[in-house]
Formats: sequence, structure tokens, C-alpha cells
Amino acid sequence: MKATLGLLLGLAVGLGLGFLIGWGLYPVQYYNTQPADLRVDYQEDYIQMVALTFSVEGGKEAALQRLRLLDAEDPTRPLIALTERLAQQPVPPESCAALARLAHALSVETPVMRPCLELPLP
Amino acid sequence: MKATAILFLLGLILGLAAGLYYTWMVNPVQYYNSLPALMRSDYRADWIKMTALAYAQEGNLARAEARLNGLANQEVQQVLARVLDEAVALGRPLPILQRLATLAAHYGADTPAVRIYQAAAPVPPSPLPPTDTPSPTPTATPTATPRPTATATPTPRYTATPRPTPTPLIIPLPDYTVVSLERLCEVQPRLLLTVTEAVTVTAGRETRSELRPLPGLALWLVSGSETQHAVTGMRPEINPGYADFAVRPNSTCNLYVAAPSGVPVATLAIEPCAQEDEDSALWTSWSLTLRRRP
Repeated sequence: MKATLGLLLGLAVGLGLGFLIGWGLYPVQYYNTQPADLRVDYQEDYIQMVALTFSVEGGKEAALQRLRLLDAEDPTRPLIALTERLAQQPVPPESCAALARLAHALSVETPVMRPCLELPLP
Repeated sequence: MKATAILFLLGLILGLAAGLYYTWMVNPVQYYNSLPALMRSDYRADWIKMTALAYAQEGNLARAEARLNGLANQEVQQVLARVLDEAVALGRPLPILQRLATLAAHYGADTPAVRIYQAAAPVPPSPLPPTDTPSPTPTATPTATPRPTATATPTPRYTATPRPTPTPLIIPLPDYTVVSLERLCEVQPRLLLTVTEAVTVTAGRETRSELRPLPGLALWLVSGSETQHAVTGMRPEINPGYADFAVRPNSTCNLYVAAPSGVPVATLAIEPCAQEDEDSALWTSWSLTLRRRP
């Protein structure tokens, strides 16, 4: 009886130590993450940079390929969501102009984006 | 008592092994709020490249710094230098190149292109509306730029020997003069330029004059409404004073040094070459050597 208790106690302590080490002290480290794993604000920054890069270099396919890294199923969804959110602000920031132009180039512009599309590119 | 201790140790080892297996293999910690620095190397390089191009549009150094925060400085330097070289090769507009060079220099990159374009005319960062949030959510205004005119060098296809008696109109400038001119016939016409300056070399009692290549010199080629820009020294493997332009067939080009204004250094016609083989169209290409006047 005592022996069984000892075994069970050892198992419990061992499991506890394992959880502590595996989740707390030395958790699995991910060094090769993808843009989809980025923090939300960095993801939005990523979309902005895709649009700005498109305005310098052109290349719809390259822009789509980059957006696909955020949403493989519907690559334009994050672009549309961010552009519409910025367009619905009381005073749409000029930064949404590049986003709206990329959306226009990819044929996914929506009426909500109109204020951004009307913003002049300086 | 001894048996109990042994069983406890056995249980401890088994439990530890099971716990580690579960936490490392079956159900590891998941990171959903990752940072650019933790991305795979190719994604990191693309992030740095996009940061550079966004900076070239926005001119907001603080935002670029925030985007590159946490990335290894050496990696940033290398990618920024490469982005600038690519932009030069693709003939991006000068303000874009200057901003790319400014950012690369800010991160300590020191390449010929960085030195050339940073020294050309630094573009001060344009003021932008402040961002409300501390996160790097972009609020900057992208700057419209015209589509660049390609100035990439085509692979030469020499198909004929140089022809004698070139007859372009050459108007010497006070600063530079054409010292040699060679007419070539190529499928894709080009202008090949080497800019030099005369220097006096003294070796012992002997003094002689030598032509030394001049890198970092801006050249402009204007043909109708089209203007191309190149800088000497971008292809040091050919000559430190070398630069070239792709030119349109059936056109006339004015070549300028430093700025596309004033009297051109040379005016060159790109005409069809007389040829025996009529199946392939050959056009005049010119190879010039310019020398700075003493």
C-alpha cells in the first residue's frame, strides 16, 4: 500500500515538474513564425507596408502573395477590413489611400472605401 | 521503506517524462502575438524590404525604426543595402533612391550606392500627423510617385564589328568632353559610358598623364519626354567610371552630366545599322569615354 502511494506520489510530482518545465521554464520557442502569427498591430502594419510597396513597385501578384501569408483562404479579407475601418473614421487618415488603391487594383474595393479612394496621393 | 523510495523515484521520473512529452510535443505553448524578429528569415527580409519601401514613400524615420525594432542590425544593414542596389538597377526615381540610401546609412550600411545617393541630395523626412497609439499602426500618408523608367542593362548581343566614321553631333561642355566615341551595332541599342579625369602621375623622374575613372557621377539621358538617370560606378567589375543606358531605336538622345539642363555633352542618334543580314534589325549603339576638363 505504502509502495503504491509512493509510486503515485512520484508520478504526480513528476508530472507537476514536467508541466512547470515544459510550459513555464523552458517552453517551446518558435523562431520561424509567419506573418499570420504576428501581433495584431504588426499585422496591420504589414498590410500597410504591402500597400505602400505596391505603390512603389506595382505587382498585383506579389501583393496578393504577401497578403496570402495573413489569410491563405481569402487574402484580400484583411486588406478590406483594415481599409474599411480606416475609411469609416470621422476623418479618414491619408494612409488609407494606398490601401484603397491596392484594393482597387485587386478589384475588391467596396463603397465604404470611397473616402479613402478620393484622398489624393501626395 | 527502501522499496517505497525507489517507487517514488520511478514515479517521479515517469511523471516528469510524461509531463515534458505533453508540454513540448502534444500541447506546446502557442504564440499568437509574435514579433517581426521571430519570423522566418525570408519573411524577415521581406519585412525589412517593405519597411524600406514604405519609408521611401512616407519619409517617416521614427515609423521605420519602430518597424525594424528588435531585428539584428547586421541583417537590417544587408537587406537595406540590397534593396537600394535593386532599386538602382530598376531605375527607381531619384527621391526614392535617396530615401533608401538615407535609411541604409542610418543603420550603418556603407556601400557605393549608399554613399552616392546619400551624398546626392538628402531628403529630409516629411512631417506626418502623430499616431495616437504607441503601437506601430501606420497612419502616414503615402507619397505618389511616377512609375519608374526602366534603366536596366540588357545583355549585350554584339552582332557586328564597330563601324568607322561616326557622325553624331557633339557639343563639348566646359566641364566634360568626349575623348573617344565608338559606334556599335546591336539588336538592343545602348549607350555605354566611361567617365574619366586626367591626372598627372610622377614615377621617379618620369611624369605622365593618366585617365582615371570617376565613380559616383550622375548622368542623365533625355530623349523626347523620357528622362533616364544613371550613376557611374555601379558596375565596378566593368569600370569604376562606367554607366550605361538602354535607348529606344529611331530616337535622338541628349547626354548630360550632373543635371539634365544646359548644353548636352553629346547628342546621339540611334539609327538602323546597315547590315548584310536583313532578318535581324540592328541599331546603333554608342560607346563613349568622357573626360573632365582640367
